[in-house]
Amino acid sequence: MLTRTKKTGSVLLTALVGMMVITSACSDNKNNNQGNAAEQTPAAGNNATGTNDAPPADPMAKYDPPIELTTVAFEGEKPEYPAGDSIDNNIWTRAYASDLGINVKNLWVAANTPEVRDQKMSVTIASGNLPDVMHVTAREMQMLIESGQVEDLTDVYDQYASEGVKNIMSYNGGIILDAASYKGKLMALPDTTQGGGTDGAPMIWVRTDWLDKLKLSPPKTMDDVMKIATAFTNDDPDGNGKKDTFGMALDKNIYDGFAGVQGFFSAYHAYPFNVNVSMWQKDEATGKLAYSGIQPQVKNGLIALNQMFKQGLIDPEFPVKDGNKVAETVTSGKVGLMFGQFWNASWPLNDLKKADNKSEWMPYPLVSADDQPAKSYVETPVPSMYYVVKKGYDHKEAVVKMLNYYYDKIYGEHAESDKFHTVTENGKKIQVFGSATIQTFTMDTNVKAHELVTEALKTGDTSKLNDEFLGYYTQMKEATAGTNLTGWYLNPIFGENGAYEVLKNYNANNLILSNEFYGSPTPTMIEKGAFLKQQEIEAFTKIIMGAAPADDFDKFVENWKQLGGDKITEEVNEWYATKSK
Amino acid sequence: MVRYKSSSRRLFEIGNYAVLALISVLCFFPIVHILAISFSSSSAATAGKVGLWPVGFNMKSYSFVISQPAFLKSLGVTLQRLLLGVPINMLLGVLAAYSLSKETKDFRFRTVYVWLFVLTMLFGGGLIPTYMIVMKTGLLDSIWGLVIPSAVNVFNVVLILNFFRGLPKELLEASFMDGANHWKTLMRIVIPVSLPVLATVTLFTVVFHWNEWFSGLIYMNSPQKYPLQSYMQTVIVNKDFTRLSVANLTLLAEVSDRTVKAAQIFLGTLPILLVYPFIQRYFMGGIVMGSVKE
Repeated sequence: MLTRTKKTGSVLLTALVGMMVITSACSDNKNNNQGNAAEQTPAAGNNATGTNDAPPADPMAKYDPPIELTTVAFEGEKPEYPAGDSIDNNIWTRAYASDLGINVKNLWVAANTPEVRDQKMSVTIASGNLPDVMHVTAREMQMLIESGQVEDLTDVYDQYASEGVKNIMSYNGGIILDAASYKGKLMALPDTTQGGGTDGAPMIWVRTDWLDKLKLSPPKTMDDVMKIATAFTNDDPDGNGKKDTFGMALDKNIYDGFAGVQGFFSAYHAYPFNVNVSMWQKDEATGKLAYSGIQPQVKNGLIALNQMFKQGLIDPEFPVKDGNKVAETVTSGKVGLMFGQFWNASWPLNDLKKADNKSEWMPYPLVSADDQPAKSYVETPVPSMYYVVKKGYDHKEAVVKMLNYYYDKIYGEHAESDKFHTVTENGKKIQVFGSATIQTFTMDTNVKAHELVTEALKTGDTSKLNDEFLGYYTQMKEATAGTNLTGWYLNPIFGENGAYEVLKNYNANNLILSNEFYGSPTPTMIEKGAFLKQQEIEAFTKIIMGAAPADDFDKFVENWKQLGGDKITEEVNEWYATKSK
Repeated sequence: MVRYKSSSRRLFEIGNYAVLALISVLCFFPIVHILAISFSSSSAATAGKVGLWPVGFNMKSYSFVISQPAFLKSLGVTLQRLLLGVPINMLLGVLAAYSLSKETKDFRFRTVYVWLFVLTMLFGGGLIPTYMIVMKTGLLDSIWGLVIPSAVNVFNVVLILNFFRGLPKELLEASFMDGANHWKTLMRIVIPVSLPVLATVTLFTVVFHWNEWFSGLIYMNSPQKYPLQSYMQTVIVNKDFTRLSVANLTLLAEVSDRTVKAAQIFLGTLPILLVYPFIQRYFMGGIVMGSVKE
């Protein structure tokens, strides 16, 4: 099917290539003499020389004549551009053309919502009408690699990638590049703006104005969490004389989404997470990977949740409330403690702040139920998106150059973030970095932001802050002074004792556990994953609500194994064997 | 006895009306709820405090929506689609139905053709093959891509066809006797007496073109060309929480525009709601009459 569509698609492709030649011939040649970069034919840059002792290729050499690079783009709900700019013509497209000699062209632009993106990509891939460079999900990448439709980038990455870029990609023991590789060859460039760090590690968010009111101290152990949750439920923290508050937020998916409580399970050294049979840990006894959701420790977490449920600390309607619904209970001031991630401050807590000026929240590190420290776990230690180059594209090194270019302009020594990241126009801040075709993100940016901004807030000296951080600084000051609350969320995230302080300490003390499985879903996962997830959530919900005894957990584990779990475990370990050698 | 019977009859009617009224109220609730949210203050809406009556009444979201060029532009695309699509659908539908309504003695392979039509109702090509055809025929990224692939709706053809077959044969015979050919018969006799079914099918077609959103997303190459409902789909969809990075932070902090979404939903539904009452009187007659064969 795929090969057939590919063949029929080639007619259109030829037409397209013809079009490209024409457009590139017409394109602006005025800028050519501006760059004095060593000129080189792109082909000579990689394969033609063939030897490794050739001088390292100039990673920023400009193409002359300019080349054409087609791609496809997705636009947010309310796209904002400086006056006169658009997704087809903006600071990035102009810079690519003038500095790198690359004319980027969007074959199409679509709205950036999950359903639309996936449908649009799947028809594009199936129709064989591929652009030169594509921003794809891990699964699409796997599909394209297996059908041989993308270029091997190993050589061009080695030769062209700048120090800074290589630094980002080697984060976390090179796991990120590993995820973009297939049989030892680098087939894609990871997009580190799409996850892949440890920023998503869970923490505890507590409503501190309630803590103060009830004269409680922040949680240090699981008993503290229980005590706080009990007080928040029974002692009328909102002072309206009614018992209408809940101790802890919980949504119907139990772990993922807003108000998921994977951090709760950490207290019992259990690490269940299930988007699609996703979280795997190493079994120390056998050295093999095991599914986290069926480990005996999970049962202890469920028993604890059941106790909380019995005491009325959890909304009894949780099995029918998704993240958005639970967020409503938070923004209406009915819940004061939740397990979550750093971004919870910006949504939904910032909405609550707007509605109720008195409300204050702070994040705290996870706590343990015993004397062993609790480990935060990260389900996706690798990015969810990748850049791939179409097989047969002549200038595949162009993507690495564009990646270098982005790094230089945003994070490099001569970064121009006021031009390339966020532009101020008529006093309004417009983010433009999203227009870049290839983007990246340094994993330590946020920790650095936290350190520098906290320091500046103490001393009042803003000389070390770049424009982005200065923006945080100003907003945080305004929010603290109460003059403008829109940036309130930045305080609990980047401020003193904020979320990045918590994350920094996790990393420093080795308290983060990464998912050991980061390949694309195995065949049985695709086939049975949704069903197994449903079984798991159902079984766990029943135990939490007391509709089934805790021992039903063992039954669930048995069923899980028989209904495809064993097969998945086998497949995952096959993958693991190829990775660990 | 009669008295008793009539009182039980009355009881039944009261009960009947009560149940029906309840059901209509139930259908009406979501619309009222959306309307209430659209007039409420943003903080009340995000906290879930709004029921059937606005909390913190204001019109801000409406003025915001009206000032959004994307909303008006997509409305324009939808109107264009209606102006092109409805006449084409009606023309092709009536022509197909007329020929297929002939007896086998007049149109030898009629049954075969009818089956060919019905077959497309039972089996579809699936997303990707359909996309390929639209791509190869050069309809991608053009308004015709929204009109041509759905130009013949077999369900509507069958409706019209059955209605045509229900017309008195004498009427057509008289027409032919007086020397009219098929075209003239269709134009002068058949269409004028078939207004009920045509009104019904027009309504169906208008509603279809108004509500259809998927082809806009798949066939158009830029959001500027989305019809209204495709645009709405992108606006109303929920956030994906499983993967979020700092890049989304600012976006997320500004996202709580439920009131705006509600205003858009309401404005998007309003025109089609207004069309119903005008065509409804044909509506019932059309379906019933078309469905009974002689």
